[in-house]
Amino acid sequence: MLAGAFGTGIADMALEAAFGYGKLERTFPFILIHPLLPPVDDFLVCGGIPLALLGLAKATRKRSFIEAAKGAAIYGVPELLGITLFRAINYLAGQPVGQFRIDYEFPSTNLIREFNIDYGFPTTNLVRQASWMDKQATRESKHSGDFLPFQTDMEI
Amino acid sequence: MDPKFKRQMFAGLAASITRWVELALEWRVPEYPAILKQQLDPHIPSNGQLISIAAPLATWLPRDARRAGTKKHDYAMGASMYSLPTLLKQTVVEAIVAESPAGVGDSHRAASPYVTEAEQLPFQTDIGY
Repeated sequence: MLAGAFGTGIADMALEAAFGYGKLERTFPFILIHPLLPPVDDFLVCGGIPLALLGLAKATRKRSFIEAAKGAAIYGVPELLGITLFRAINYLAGQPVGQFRIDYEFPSTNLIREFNIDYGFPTTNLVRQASWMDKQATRESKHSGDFLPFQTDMEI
Repeated sequence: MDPKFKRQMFAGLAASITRWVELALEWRVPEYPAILKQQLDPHIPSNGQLISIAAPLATWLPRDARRAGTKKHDYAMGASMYSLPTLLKQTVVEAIVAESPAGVGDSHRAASPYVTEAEQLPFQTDIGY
């Protein structure tokens, strides 16, 4: 079980680290399907690995795969629910950072979609998408010493 | 469903909720203690995150928890199966983000809008917010 949990955690870590190191916003799988839901990469890892292990267990009838799937689920399911909770709290907090439109492309279909997403997840590895304009505004306000645009509606 | 698995899943969920609610408080509550928002080192998560991720490991403290086959052992195992990979993941991600070239991962370097400049440690002043 520990192996399943750590395996899932390490796969999650690899994706988060890749996203953190490179500019992978708007690229699959670092895309949002809904502002309140975790990004696709979290679904793939936290939901996909336990299901894949369960499928392996059914195919091979090995008990060890079932145990690994349980471990993966104990890491993955709470992680998915936790991220959803976190995003919901941020969303219900009134979106103090404002909304803006984001477009991204599915590489396979080249389908461009736009969502209003809450840019309210300013933690290290949770901001999945950022617009160029928002980054510019951030940089400009940093130099000007003013409050950032998204801080204007806050009481500080 | 296996009752042992249920207990482990419950503990994992409790650990997850602890971790994510703390993070939400860290970013959304202006009065949240600044010391919990700070990082001792840019390569590790914030103090609040470290505490909230590691706190469920205290389920190992009762003597019963260290004896296999008990309910407390199941809870401790479930909490560990969530917390230990999360701690590893978050630390590695913070380290990689801290070492990423300047300009890369701007969105990751975001500090809380509620952390004033005076509250930030010197190495945090270059964070993108």
